Amino acid sequence: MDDPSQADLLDTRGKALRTNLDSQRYGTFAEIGAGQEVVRWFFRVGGAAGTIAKSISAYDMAVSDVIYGSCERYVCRPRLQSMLDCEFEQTLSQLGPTRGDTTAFFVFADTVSARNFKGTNECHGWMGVKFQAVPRDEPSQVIIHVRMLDGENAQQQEALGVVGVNLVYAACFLKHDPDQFLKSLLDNLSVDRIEIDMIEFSGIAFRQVDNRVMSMKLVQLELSNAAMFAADGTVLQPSEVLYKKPILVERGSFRPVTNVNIDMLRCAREQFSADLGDDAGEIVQLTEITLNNLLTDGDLDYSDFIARIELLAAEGMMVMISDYFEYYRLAAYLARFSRNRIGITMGASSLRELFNEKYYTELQGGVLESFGRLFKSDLKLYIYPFLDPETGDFIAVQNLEVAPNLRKLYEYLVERGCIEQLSSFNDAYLPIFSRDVLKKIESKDPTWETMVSDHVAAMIKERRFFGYRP
Amino acid sequence: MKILIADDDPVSRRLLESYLEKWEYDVTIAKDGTEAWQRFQEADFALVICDWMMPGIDGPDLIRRIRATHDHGYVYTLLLTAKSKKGDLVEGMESGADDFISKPFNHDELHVRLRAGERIIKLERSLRETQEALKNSQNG
Repeated sequence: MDDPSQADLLDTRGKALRTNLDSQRYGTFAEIGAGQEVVRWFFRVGGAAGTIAKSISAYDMAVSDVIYGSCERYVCRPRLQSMLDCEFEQTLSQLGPTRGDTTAFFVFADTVSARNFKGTNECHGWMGVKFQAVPRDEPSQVIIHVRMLDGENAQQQEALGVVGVNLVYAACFLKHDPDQFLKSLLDNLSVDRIEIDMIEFSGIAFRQVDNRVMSMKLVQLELSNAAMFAADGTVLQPSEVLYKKPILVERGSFRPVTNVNIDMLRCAREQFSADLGDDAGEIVQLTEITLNNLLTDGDLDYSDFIARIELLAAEGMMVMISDYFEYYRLAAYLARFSRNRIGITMGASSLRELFNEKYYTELQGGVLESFGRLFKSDLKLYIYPFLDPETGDFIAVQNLEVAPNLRKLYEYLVERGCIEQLSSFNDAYLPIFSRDVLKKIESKDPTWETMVSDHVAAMIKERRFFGYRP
Repeated sequence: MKILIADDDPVSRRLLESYLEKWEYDVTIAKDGTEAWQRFQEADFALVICDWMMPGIDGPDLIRRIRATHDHGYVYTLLLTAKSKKGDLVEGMESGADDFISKPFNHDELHVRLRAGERIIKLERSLRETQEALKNSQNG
C-alpha cells in the first residue's frame, strides 16, 4: 500500500503493520484506564520492534502521579497533556542523541474510563499523539475526546484500540490532509460505537489548520453530533464546559449576528437568572448553529462559516455546532451533561414552527412525544417577540397562532411555565432580520450598520465579510 | 377615536398598540397608572384601556379618578384583568369600569368589546348633541 490516503482500504491490522514497517517512526505508548488496547495492535501485527520504544500503563493512581505529576482527575485533558509531554521529553532525551537524525519520534497516550462492572460511570476518554513530522522537527500534536457507546467493557476496549491505531496512523501518514485525517479516525468503526466530540490540532505540522473548522467538520462528517469552541477559538469538550451547569442556548443562523440576537440573549439571561434564584452559579451561555443553518444553497461555505463565528467571537459568544435540528434532541444532548436548569431562547416565529406537526411525523408519539421529551428536564423556552415584516403584526406568546388541534396543548405549556415571554426586549430592534442585513450589504445600503453592533459592523467592513464592498 | 392604553407589561402594551393601530384608532401609550393619569389630563380620550395591577395608580384607582372629572364627555373604560383576579371583578366594575377583558386577551374578543364601547360613546355623543340642540331651541 503506497498511497496512505487510501487508508479506507486498510483494516486496523493493516494500518498498525504499515506504521510498524515505517522505519522513520519510533515512539512510546502510554495508556491509562481500559487496558493497553492500542499498543496491543502494534505488538500483534508483527514488526513492533521497529516502532515501539516503550509501552507503559501507569494503572495505579499513585504510580501515575509519581510519573506524570498529581492531578485532580485521571480522565481529563490536563492528565493527557502531562502524559504526552512527559513521555515525549523522555523519548527525546533518551533516544534523540543516538537516532534523532533519522527518526521522527512520537508519543501516543490515552486516559480512559471504560464501562465499570455496575455500568454506572461515564464511558469516555482522552487520546492524543505528539510527534515530529520529520526528524529533529518541532513537535506537533492532535488531541481527541471520545465517548464510548458500546454496552460492554470488552467492546469498548476493542473500539478504543481501533481509534488509537487510526490516530497514530493518521499522524504518521495523513498529517498533510486534515480532512482525510479526520475522516479516517472512525475507519473500521461506526458512530454507534464511538463518538469523537472534540479534536484539537496544534504544532508546526498543522499551522494552517483552523480548529474551529475542524470542530465543525466533526459534525459534518458525523463523527459527533455537536462540537463547541470558545470566543477565543479554543476548542472545547462539551462535558467539561456543561457539566452540572445551568445552560442557556440561543439557536440561530447568525449570518450575521444582529442586535436582535444580542438583545434576545440579554433578555433571556435576565429572566433565566431570575428563575434560577440567588444560588444560580455560573450560567453557560451558548450560541448554537445547526449544520442545516450553515448550508448556503445546500453547500457548506467555510469562509461564510468563519465570518459568522468571528463575529460571534467579537460579541464574546461561545459557539456550539450541532446536527440536532429538532429541539428535543438538543435538549436531550444538553441534559446528558447537566441536570441543572436548561433554557432555550428563540423568536416567536421559531416557536410557531416548533408547533408544526410536519417535523414530528417520524416520532411514534408525534408532537406529544416531542414536547414530552423537550420539557422533561425542567427546560424552559424564553420567547422573544416577533414583528411580522409582511403584516406588521406584533407576535408574542399570548397571541401566537398555532393549529387549532394544538391550541390546548400550547395553552397548557404556557400555563405550566414551560414557555415564557421575554418582556424587557428592545422595541427598536424588532424590525431587524439577518437576511435584510445581508441584502443591504450587497446593495451597498449603509443602514445595515444600524442593525448590528458597532464592533460587528467594523469587523464586517474591515474583513470584507459577506461580500462587503466599500 | 382617541384611546389611552395603560399597562406596565411591555408585551401586553405593545400587543394592544399593534392591534389598535391596525384597527385605525389614535393610540396613546402610558407605562403605568401615574403616566396614564397625566396623559388623560392632557387630551380628550374617548376610551381608556387599563391594566388592573400597576405600580403607583392601579387600574380601578385610575378609573375612579377619570369618573371624578367633569372636563370630558363620557369616557368608556375597559379593565384588563388576569384570570386569577376574576373573583375581584365586582371591585373593578364598582370603580366605574364599563367592561373588562381577561388576560391573555383574544384579539377578536378585544375588537368586539372595543366596537361596543365605540357605539356607546357615539350614542352618548349623539344624545348630548341632541340635548344641546333641544336646549338651544328652547332658549331661542
